[in-house]
Amino acid sequence: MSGVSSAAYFARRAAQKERVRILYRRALKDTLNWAVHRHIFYRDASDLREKFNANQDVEDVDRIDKLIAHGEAEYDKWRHPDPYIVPWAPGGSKFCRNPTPPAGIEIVYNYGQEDNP
Amino acid sequence: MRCIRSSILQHLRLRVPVRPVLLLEKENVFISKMNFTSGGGGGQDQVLSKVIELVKKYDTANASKVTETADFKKDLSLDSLDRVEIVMAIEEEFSVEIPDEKSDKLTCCADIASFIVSESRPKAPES
Repeated sequence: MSGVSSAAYFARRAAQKERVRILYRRALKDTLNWAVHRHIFYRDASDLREKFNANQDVEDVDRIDKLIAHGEAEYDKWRHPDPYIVPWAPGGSKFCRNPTPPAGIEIVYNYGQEDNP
Repeated sequence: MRCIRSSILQHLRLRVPVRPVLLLEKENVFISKMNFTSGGGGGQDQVLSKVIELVKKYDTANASKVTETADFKKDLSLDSLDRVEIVMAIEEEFSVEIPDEKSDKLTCCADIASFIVSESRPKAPES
């Protein structure tokens, strides 16, 4: 019985670690969206990292869940309305701007001479 | 008179640049962004060397231990959050999008380099 519960415990902890990682990643990207100048971004990223590190050693699973929920709520509050997307990525301004033409299509260079082939 | 003034100004001027350096202690990875321009994925070796340089500049990683196959977690003792930061820096450097589940599997620099090369290959024109 303890084997089953410890496997469930580890699975839960692993899922929590996954959530924390994803949350940290999104929060860092958001920080980059808000803080355009690099020195401001360094400061904010350090603060974010400190916040995450402060709760690093919590062992109680329920408390970790509450902390993650709290963190996700804060992330939702701070989401940027117009995030930066790399231009050639989907959603960016340059996406599909100049798609490669389908194979087999070419230009016939006979301007002015269409009547006499 | 003028040289006294200029020497005083020199003293005052020298004080200012010290402060930003102290702020940059923590996130040294991102400093490299100012110097590097993302050169759309040159051969795999160049990509690999850039990746290794990035990881070396990270302040909590030992520069001497960083090699191609140095495992992030075991050899360099990098936290999972550190790994997230490195992945973000690499995303910025090479302008590629690395999804979350892939970033878990990247454990050494060679993985990252091969991933970047495989990402940039479909963009190359096939004619």
